[in-house]
Amino acid sequence: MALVRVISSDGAAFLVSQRLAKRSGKLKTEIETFRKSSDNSEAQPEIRIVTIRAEILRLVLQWLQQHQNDPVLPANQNEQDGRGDAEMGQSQWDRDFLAPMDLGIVMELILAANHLEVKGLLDITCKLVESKITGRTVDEIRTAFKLKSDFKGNEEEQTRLENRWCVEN
Amino acid sequence: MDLEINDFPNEILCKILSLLSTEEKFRAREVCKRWREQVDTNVLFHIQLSDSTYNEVRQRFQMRRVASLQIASLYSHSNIPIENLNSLRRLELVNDIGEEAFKDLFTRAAFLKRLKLNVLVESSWEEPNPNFPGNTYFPALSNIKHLSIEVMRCEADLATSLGACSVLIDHNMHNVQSLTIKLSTGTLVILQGLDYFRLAASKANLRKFIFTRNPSLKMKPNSDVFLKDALPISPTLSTALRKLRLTHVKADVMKIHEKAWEVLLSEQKHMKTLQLYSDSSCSQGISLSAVLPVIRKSWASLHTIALEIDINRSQSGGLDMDIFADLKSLRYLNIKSWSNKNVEFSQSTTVANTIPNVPKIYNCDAIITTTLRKLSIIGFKLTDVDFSNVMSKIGKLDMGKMEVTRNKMPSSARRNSGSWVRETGMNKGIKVGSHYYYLPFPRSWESSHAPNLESMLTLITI
Repeated sequence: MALVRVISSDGAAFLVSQRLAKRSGKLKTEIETFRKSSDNSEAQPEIRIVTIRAEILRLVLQWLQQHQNDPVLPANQNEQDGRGDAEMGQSQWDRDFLAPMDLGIVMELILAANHLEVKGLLDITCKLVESKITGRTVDEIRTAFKLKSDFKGNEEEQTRLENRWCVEN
Repeated sequence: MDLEINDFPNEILCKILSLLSTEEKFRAREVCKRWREQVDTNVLFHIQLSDSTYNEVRQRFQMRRVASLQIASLYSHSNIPIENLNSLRRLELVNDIGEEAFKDLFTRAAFLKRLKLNVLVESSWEEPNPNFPGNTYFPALSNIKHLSIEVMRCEADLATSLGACSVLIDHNMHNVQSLTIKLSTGTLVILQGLDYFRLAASKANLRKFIFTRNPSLKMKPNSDVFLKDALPISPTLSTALRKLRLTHVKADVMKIHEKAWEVLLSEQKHMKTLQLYSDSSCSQGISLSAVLPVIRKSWASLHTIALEIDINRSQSGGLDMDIFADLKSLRYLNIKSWSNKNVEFSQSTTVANTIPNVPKIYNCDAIITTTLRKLSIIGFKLTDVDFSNVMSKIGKLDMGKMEVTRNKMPSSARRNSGSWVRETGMNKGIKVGSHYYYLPFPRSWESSHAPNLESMLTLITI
């Protein structure tokens, strides 16, 4: 079984099968680039991911391993057809996987999934963040995400009025 | 590193906000400037448009990015009240929308990928609705990759006729890769109309073809002519086909089209998934001999097979699984014995021998290879010898998940599995119907989640 060494930003190395790694669009490209530039076809590729730390990389690889037999989703980044993603059901495993994570980890995972082009993981993590917004008032959303209103003067009131105007008409 | 939501690039923030419901999206506008800007410019909306919501849609969504649009029945406005339809990917037309609106929609929605049409069969289908500009050329429609058509019956005068719709497909949609046709009506009218679908099915790029019928649709006995001449198979069906799924296949239809069927299937070099289900309302199911030559001949690429076959029509009266042994890349195999509705396999029947004509199955172990992920065999009689062969062979694979059921275990098998349970110290049963069975496999299988095999075996045998 051909392996690949994936190294996190803080230097931890993960040895995974290339078959598994290729389920990430980014790693797939990297492996192929390595193949082309290397004379020795048996050489083991080594890929450094400078933006992702070990803890997060481990989670991504864990998720990939669990989902390695899923059909590959078309990784067309430009196709912004949000609804299809939203309809995708989450498995019990995914729920258990995400349950213990705090919001900070989930958000790091989103960036990692985006960077590594792992569409399925990106979908479920985004869905999780979305669920933290749904059903909350504006103030509650701000508290949950530590956001501050940056509206000036009566801008906020105006935005609210715009919305009300839309709703009432 | 403490990450905050506004550290996300627009692309991700937008993806998250796009998942919200419409009301929530408007609320999110009030959170901060950046969110407001995103909702106003990039976030995608999913909208239902009808006469009653026309004004609301015009006011709230005119300037927004709409990703999916459903237009309800009897839409009478002459335009679509959204400024820019370039972000529209998914469209569902519940009914005819009138010529002007139709033209407006298809001229502007240049990047439409998925289209769902609910085609309504009128009694006067032969005369296409003159208002339906089906034979106009709309360049935008050539981008459509996924087309889904549900054929229904409707009494209304405003129905999009089947014929016109087919003309539209034929004139415009040249790049359809996936075609799904679902019938929700059993009228005979449909017979001729399906000729058009044969045209549609001949699209050169077609990769996925699914033809199915609403399962809740009850067919009257005298509607047996239904689909008699209309198995939507044409010798010119795309040879790029990857997936073919036909439900309610009538054996006699297959016979009529035997030549076409053979030509069609033997041309397929890339086929990966084949799913054929017999129609239980006829007196015969698909015979294995109709399908077999093709499976044997050229389908090295096949990895998923689901067949509902009528074994009693073959001479041996049984199914030798050895025939599948040559399929080197087989991953999912689902074999179901076809049963006429008059001879239901009843779970309440406790004595297998009282069920007439239960076909036998042989050499099940022949297909258990390392590539196999899922095996499901339903409605066959499995001998004790075969059963233990299968079990011992599976024992050598690392399976993640397994389910073995016997509706009625022969006493010897029950005894064997009982001792197996004792040997391995495992005592876990599963319930099927009113029966309770042991899973006769070692405990180690349950705990081992091998990296490469997430397999599942279903043997519901009698």
